[in-house]
Amino acid sequence: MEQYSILGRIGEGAHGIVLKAKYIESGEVVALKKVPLRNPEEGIPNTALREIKALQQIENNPYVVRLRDVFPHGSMIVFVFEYMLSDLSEVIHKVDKPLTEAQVKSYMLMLLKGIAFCHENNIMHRDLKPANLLISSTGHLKIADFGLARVFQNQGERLYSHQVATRWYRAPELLYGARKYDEGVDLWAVGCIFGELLNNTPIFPGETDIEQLCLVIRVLGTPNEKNWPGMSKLDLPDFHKISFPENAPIPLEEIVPDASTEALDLLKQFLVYPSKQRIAAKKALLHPYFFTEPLPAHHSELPIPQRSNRRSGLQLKHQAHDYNLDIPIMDSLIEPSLLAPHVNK
Amino acid sequence: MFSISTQAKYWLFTGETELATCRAEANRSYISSRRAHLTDNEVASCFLTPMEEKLLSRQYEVVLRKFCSEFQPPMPKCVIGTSLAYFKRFYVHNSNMDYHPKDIMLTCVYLACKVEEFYVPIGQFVKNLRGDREKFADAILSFELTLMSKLNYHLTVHNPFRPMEGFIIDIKTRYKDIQNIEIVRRTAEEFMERSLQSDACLIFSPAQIALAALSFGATKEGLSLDRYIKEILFKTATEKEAEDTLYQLRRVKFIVKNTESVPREQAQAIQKKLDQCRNQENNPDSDVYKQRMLEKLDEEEDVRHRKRAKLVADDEPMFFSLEQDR
Repeated sequence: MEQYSILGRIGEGAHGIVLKAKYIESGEVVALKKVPLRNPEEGIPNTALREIKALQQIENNPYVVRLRDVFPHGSMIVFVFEYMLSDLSEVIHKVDKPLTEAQVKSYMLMLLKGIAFCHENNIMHRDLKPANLLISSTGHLKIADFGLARVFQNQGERLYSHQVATRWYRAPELLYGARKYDEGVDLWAVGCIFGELLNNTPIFPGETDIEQLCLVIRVLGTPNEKNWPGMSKLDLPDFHKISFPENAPIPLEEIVPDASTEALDLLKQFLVYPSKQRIAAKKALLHPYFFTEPLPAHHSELPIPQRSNRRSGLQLKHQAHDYNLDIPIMDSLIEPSLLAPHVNK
Repeated sequence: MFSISTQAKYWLFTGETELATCRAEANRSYISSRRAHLTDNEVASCFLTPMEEKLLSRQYEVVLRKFCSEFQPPMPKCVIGTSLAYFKRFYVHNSNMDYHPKDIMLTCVYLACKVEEFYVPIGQFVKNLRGDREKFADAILSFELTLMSKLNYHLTVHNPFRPMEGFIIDIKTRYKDIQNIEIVRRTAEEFMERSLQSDACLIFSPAQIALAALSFGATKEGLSLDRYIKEILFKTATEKEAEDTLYQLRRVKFIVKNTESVPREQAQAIQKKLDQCRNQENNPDSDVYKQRMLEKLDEEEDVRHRKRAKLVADDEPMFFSLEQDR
């Protein structure tokens, strides 16, 4: 801990407080997440162990936040992450102008690349939401908060907790209490985030779990063997606890009125009842949506809101397109080789 | 994926020699910190030698496996494999005299249960032990963080059990020369059990151990996997790579075959010696240790009090001081 000087407080997550700090040796700014051993009877919490495991397995992906170090501090574990300026939730809700289509595409591209990598490495995140998608000072999106992540095995045996994911982004099978599910829960969440990016507002903002289900059913229609083949064979413990009046689906065109045809087509492939039918992240990356004009924006064209920090009085407005005469021109030029990885192949 | 894992990056050593060097260094560094003015002869009679440490570790690995095999509820193999891997990794850079293998052993199993998602509450965990269970629980929980940091937080362990299933499926589908590979399973599994008692998991990849186990089993049944390895598995690789692999498999077999059990009397003698030279600061039964735990508790209580006082004192949002957390 002595190697870091604390600069401020970033926020409080479900698993502990997050501080902004400087690594004294190199001057780099980092985020420290302190996880207390809140449960002294059981030792180190499972969530902390899972986060460590997941992050070590997917190290060095540009779209996943990097775990730089872990160390004990008194009765706490401290995770050291690269410092990120903001998150997608702030981008969506705090930026003055609505996002352009090119910007939405760019975010979706980065999100899908990150998720594709996680899924390839057998990790389901289980808590995707805009607030967990961090934005770096260069505008890059990185997936964070793997506290609920599970390393999955495709053996179909394992029971998982259904109390995962933030309600608005929770897949229908989870809302029905399923204990056997797969990485499709992440793809549902991606769909919800996509809708939110297109609409600038969450598409299923349920206040309660029941209302959540209601909102989903209102749009997708009442689940039945036709729109959810095999649902009767799934173990959905809460299915018979609640029933809704028969309800025809509402076309997504009406929910997301301003979206392009390609965007709607992709969105429809995420927001379906059967988990296995949701389009895999890797496949979604090849969808025509990403190859039609306007093409995804370059990361320098993405907004970078400053974290609103209650504690610090001084608010620095970060402007992505500000010209600074003191910076050598070479630094503002874009190196083609740095661009290359972000170009669609 | 094993190839990009922390296991491949940080926990594979070149061989027994490198491991012996690391362990000797851990032994030397512990002794040099407390030998004071003792002569070399006195040191040899008071402290454990690297050889004695190795025997002691082996002995506790046997105890660990026995504990795991009798554990209720029955635990999956990967938990045993992971516990042993933690235990072996721990004593590559630490001395048995610094941390008693008895404490570390149980902590390894407890942590492995959590990491392998075989969750057993601590209360139920210590029901598998005879004696003062509360004391065991306290010891396990107090060493958990130490263990984790000594393992450099590299928690994921790749065990050879899954690769073995993979090879069996591959042989069934692609290698028609052997029709009934299932008959080797029992011997191969015995070989893998034995490998857990060696340093194999610190030297070879899990796939190499699994393949060596199958090849060992095949030989016992009068079969050979050499052609499978050369012509199917390494079809697209160079001859040298195939030869290298065959050489590695022979090394695995050699190391696994040479595991010997430690005679009881010898282990007891070493343990007696250990009681004299162990680090009392890491002994949950010692006064030094209890004193330190008390101090830590007081300190935390103190911090909590100060925080509370602080919260009352600065109702108006002032500069938020984080010093209190230090």
